[in-house]
Formats: sequence, C-alpha cells, structure tokens
Amino acid sequence: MQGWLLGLRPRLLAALLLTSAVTLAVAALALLSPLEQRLRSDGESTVLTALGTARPELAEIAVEPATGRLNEAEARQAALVLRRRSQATLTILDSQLDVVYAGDEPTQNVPDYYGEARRALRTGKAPVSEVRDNELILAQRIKISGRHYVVVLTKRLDYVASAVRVVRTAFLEAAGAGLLVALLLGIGLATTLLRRLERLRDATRELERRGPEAEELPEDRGRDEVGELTRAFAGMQARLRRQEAARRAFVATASHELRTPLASLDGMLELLEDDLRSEQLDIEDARERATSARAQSRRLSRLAADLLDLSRLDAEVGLRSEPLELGELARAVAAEFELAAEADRRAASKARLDVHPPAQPCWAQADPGAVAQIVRILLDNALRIAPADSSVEVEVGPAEGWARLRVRDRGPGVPEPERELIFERFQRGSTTGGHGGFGLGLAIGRELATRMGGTLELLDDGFAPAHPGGCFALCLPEAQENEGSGSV
Amino acid sequence: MSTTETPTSLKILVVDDEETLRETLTRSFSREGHSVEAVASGQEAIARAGAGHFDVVLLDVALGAGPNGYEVCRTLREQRNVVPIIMLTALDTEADAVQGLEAGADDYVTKPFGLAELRSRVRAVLRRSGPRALGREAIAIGPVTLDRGRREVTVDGKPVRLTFSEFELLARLMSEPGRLLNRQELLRAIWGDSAYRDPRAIDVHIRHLREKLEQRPEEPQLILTVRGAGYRFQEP
Repeated sequence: MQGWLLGLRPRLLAALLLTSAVTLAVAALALLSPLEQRLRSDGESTVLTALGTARPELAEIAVEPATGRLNEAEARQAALVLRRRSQATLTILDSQLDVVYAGDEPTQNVPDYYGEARRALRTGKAPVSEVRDNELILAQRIKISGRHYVVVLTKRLDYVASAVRVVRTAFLEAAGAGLLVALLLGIGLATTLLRRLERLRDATRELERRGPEAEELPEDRGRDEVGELTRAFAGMQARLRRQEAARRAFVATASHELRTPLASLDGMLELLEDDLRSEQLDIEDARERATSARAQSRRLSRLAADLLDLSRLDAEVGLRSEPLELGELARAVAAEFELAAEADRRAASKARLDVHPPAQPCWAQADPGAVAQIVRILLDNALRIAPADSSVEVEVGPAEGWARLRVRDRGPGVPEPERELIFERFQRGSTTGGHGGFGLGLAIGRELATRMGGTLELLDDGFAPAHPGGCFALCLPEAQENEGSGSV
Repeated sequence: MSTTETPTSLKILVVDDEETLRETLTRSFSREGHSVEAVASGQEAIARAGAGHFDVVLLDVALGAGPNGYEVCRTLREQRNVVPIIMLTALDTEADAVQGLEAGADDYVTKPFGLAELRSRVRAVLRRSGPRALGREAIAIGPVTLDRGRREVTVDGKPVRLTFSEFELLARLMSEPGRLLNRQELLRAIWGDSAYRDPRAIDVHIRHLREKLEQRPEEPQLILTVRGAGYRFQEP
C-alpha cells in the first residue's frame, strides 16, 4: 500500500489538490477579513460625513433663550436634520450628559452611552467611535446654537456580517467547485500521463528482456517531455535494431566466409586420406590437392587476421598518436611487397610498384602500425586488380592541410554505384573479378583512418581520363612542428 | 528391403560460389559413381535445375550477388520442381535452419560438414529413387492415394506434387494408419539411420504436407498432431 502512495498518480493528485486548497484559503484570508473592516469603516465614515454636513444646519437651530437649552421640539428638529443625513439612530446629550433627545424611545430605555459621550466631550472635535455588540457607536461633540451637546449615533452593523457571510458562502462554493475541477483534472492528467509512462516502462522492460527484437513502441505524438522521451526511446530502439541487423548480417557473412573454406579444406583432406588408404595414389593428383589445401588454409588465416583486426577495432583498442614520416613508411611497406613478389615465381607477370616520395619529408600525426596496415591493404588491393605489367603508383605529399598518401592503379576502376559500398564490411567490388579478398580490407582501412582523425576515400581521378583505374587517398592530420611523441 | 532395382548412380547438381568446394564435392561424388554438375550462381542453379533432371541438389545459402540459396529453393518449388534439395549453410542457428526448410528444402547440412555426412544424405535419396520390386503397390486411405512405385500422390483423384521429404513422410504415415509416429521415427523414414537431425524439420514438412493435402490446413483431418509425441494419419 505504501508503494501505491509513492506512485505518480496519488502524488500528482495530492499536489494539485493541495495547491488549489492553499490558493483558495489564502484568497479567503486576504479577502474576508479586509472586507469586514472595509464595510465597517465605510459605515463609520458615512455617519461622520453626515455629521459634518449637518453642522451648519444645526448651528441655525434657534434655541429658546429662556432656558438656554434645547427644548423637545428643537431637539427633534436637530435630530431630524442628523437622521436624514446619517440614516442612524441618535441620542443627544447635553454637556451635563443628560439625555435631551432619545428618539422615540423613552428616556430611561436609552442604552448607556455615557462613557462614549464623556470621552467625546473631552476630546473635543474628534469623534469617538466604538463597536459594541455588533453596533457602531459614534459620539461627537456638536454645537447647536452656540452650546455644546453630544450626539451619539448608533448604527447596527448586521449588514456587514451578512455581507461577509454571503461572500464567505460564495467563496466556499467556489472552493468546492475548484477542488472538484482540480481533482477531475488531476485524475485525467495523471491517468493519461501514467498510461503513456507505463507504455514506455513496459517497452523498456521488453527491450531489456527480448533485446532489439522487442515490439516497437506505438508512436506518441505528445509534444511534451513524455512525448520527447518516447520518441527518444523509439529512436534508440530503431538504432539498436539496425545495429542488431548489421551484426547478424556480419555474423552470417563471417560464418559463411569461415566455414566454406573449412568445408572444402575438410573435403580435400578427406579425399586425400581416402586416396592414401586405397593405396592407389596418384601422386600428381595428391600434390595438387595438398597445394590447394594449403591455399585454403592460407586464405583462412588471412580471414582470421582480418576478423581479429575488425574485432579489435570494434573493441576500440587505443591507437597511438605520434609523428611519422609518410614517405618513409610508404617505402618500407612497398619493400615488403617487393620481397614477397620475389619469393613468388609468378611475380614476373604482376604489376610493378612505384613509390614517389615527397620532395620534403611529409610528417603525419598517427599510429605507425595502423598506417602501415592501411597502406598494405591499399597496395594489396591495387596489385590484385592491376593488369600485368602496368604500374601501381604510390604518391606521398601534403595536401590542403593533410598529410596525404595516394595509391593509383590501372585496373578496371570502381563503378559509380559501388564507390561507397566497397568501404563496407564483406563488400567486394564487382570489378575485382572474384580475386582473393573478403571485402574487409577497405572497411578496416577506413575505420582505422577515421580513428586517427583522418579519411580514406576513393578519388574521382584515376591516372587520366583516358585510363580508368582506382585512386585511393589516405589523408592524415599533419604533425605539428617540434612535437614530441605521445599517446592519446 | 530389396535394393536390387535401385539405381547406383544419381545426377547431382552442386551450387556453391566457392570454387574449391565445388571441385571437392564434384570429385567426391564422381568417385562414388554419380554424375555431378556444379554451378556458382543462383541464376545458373535455377536454369540448370529446371532444364536437367537432377536427382538431388546440394545448394549453398550464400551465393554472392543474385538470388541466394533460399530464393533459389523457393523459386524451384514455385515451379513445382520437387527435386530433393539439401541446403549447405554456414549458419547453425535454429532460425536459419527453419528458414531453409520453410523455403522448401528437404534438409540442411551445416558447414563445415564431413563428406561422409553429405554422402549419407545422398544415399538416402538414392535408396528411394527409381521403381522398386517389392511391396510397392498403391495405398489408398480416404481421399489420399499414394503410389510408392511411381512416386505419385493423388487427393480425390487429383495429382499432388510432393517434395522428396513430404513424400517419404506421407508414405511412412500411411503405411500404418492410425498409429502414432514420433519425430525420430519420421526422420528415419526420410533419411535412414544417419547422423542426428533436427526433429523440428518434421514439423515444417508436416505443415507443408497439410497445405497440399488438407482442405483446411489449419484444422487438419488427415494428419493429426499428438501434442508432445508426434503425428498420425487417419481416415477422416
């Protein structure tokens, strides 16, 4: 149950309700109490204003000179003037605090206003006001025909209370409605939000459980954060799926490439074994089979090396970064090939390898082993497809802020649709005529070049428009002057 | 079983993009007395299998550019070619195997395979090809008639083209109507006592059989599944 309380829905609801309740409570406090005060002071000022404006009229009331004090008719006249203006009940006392007028009430029933009246006499012109038993009592010294009297005006303040009551009731009703709306809104919001989040959660669990194969998340068109999260998730899933598909394709091709030569190797050895067992050995035939088996096993070890290179790249084994002279490196790698060619008797019919070193040393910032490997891949490819007695040229030099090495051949070139494809794993160009490779070299080469901050590309120009052929360019960052060797 | 009238040689079509393997297979089967033709691409395979009457096709899955092994297999089956097809695949997961069987292959062999293993498959095909002398009269159960000698099956008098595996399976099931046969028994009926085969292959073949024989394959009346045990054939 505690878990339920920690859920998003109750928390969201509680927050909404609390916010609404607090807002209403603060509004009520801020409104109701000042309203009451305001209504009261309004009442008071009405009466005071009435007194003020009545003054001249009061002064004119002629007092019978004999007694020097207000007789009943005069008092009634003064009262009339005051009442007309103030709409209040009034009592008039003389300076001895004897009641001279008490409206229609008998004099003895007049409530006790002496306290206020005395204070009013003492304070002079300023009125004394007090609220007692929800009644506004206002005492003020006035002058009627030259003598001081005290007029006490009283006004029931019930209308204030009832006005406040009405407002309070309206407020409570508004609060109830507001909270209900908040509740409904909260439930609605929490439910849709929760449903979307739950969908996302389920999809994530599904992805965890079943991997990229997991069912695709339905599209969330929401333009809020949850929508964004959902789209980000879908994007991630699509990417994982593409990676998985690529991985599968890679495994499928790799196992085909590995197992097919194994199958033929196994078959050849089995046939050879049969021959040996049957003691009808055709020596020439057996020799041929042994040669063929060796070729297969060499092919297998080349593939194993390529696959290891790839997995090392995939595992992101670190590369060094040090200054190296590209011309020197090109010469060294070309020398390896020449040695191998000398060992090979068929070398005579093969293409030549010409290295054009740069006029100035051309320093690149890279991993020497990796660069040598790329050059080996390029030369191997070029020599494999170059026509006999043509030349494969290696050219080194600076180019647009790069240290560049180009390998050109006079082979058949690469058809337009395959220009990028040949850099992908297990993709062989159609013009290689099925010679040798596994289609991994350029993929490895490009990956290595990119890792070193460089590029490996197929350039548009071959030797010249008249001569087709491939021209691959390896561009590496130039080494900074006076920089020692270091590692990344 | 009599093998007196069994032919001793078969016409085999080898399809693989790797030259050395083609050569090795050709050599190995020629030595056994079969006549072998080897092609490298899917197109050639479809053209040759359609033209020449082969007794068995050994078909590699990955064939470089052009149609792959699965596509070749599917195309041949769509052309109602029922030649036994054994896929040579470098992939050994169940999904890959089933993909081949779904495409209509009779069996698959995972590279690297021993030649002996492949030969045992081919011998299984050999044992059943050609007319044979004994106990080869037609069996008729319900709407289905199966003629072992002529390798023909009819449903309600209409001929049905069954692949090698489908025919062998149906023949085994109809030889003992009403009896439950487990997957291993059914596998033996196709390939004899050779190396271990994937019993799930039977499920794929049975499904293909139902599609060809049953009026409503999803509610089979002839070939019934006995859950967890196997299959039996019954008169509806």
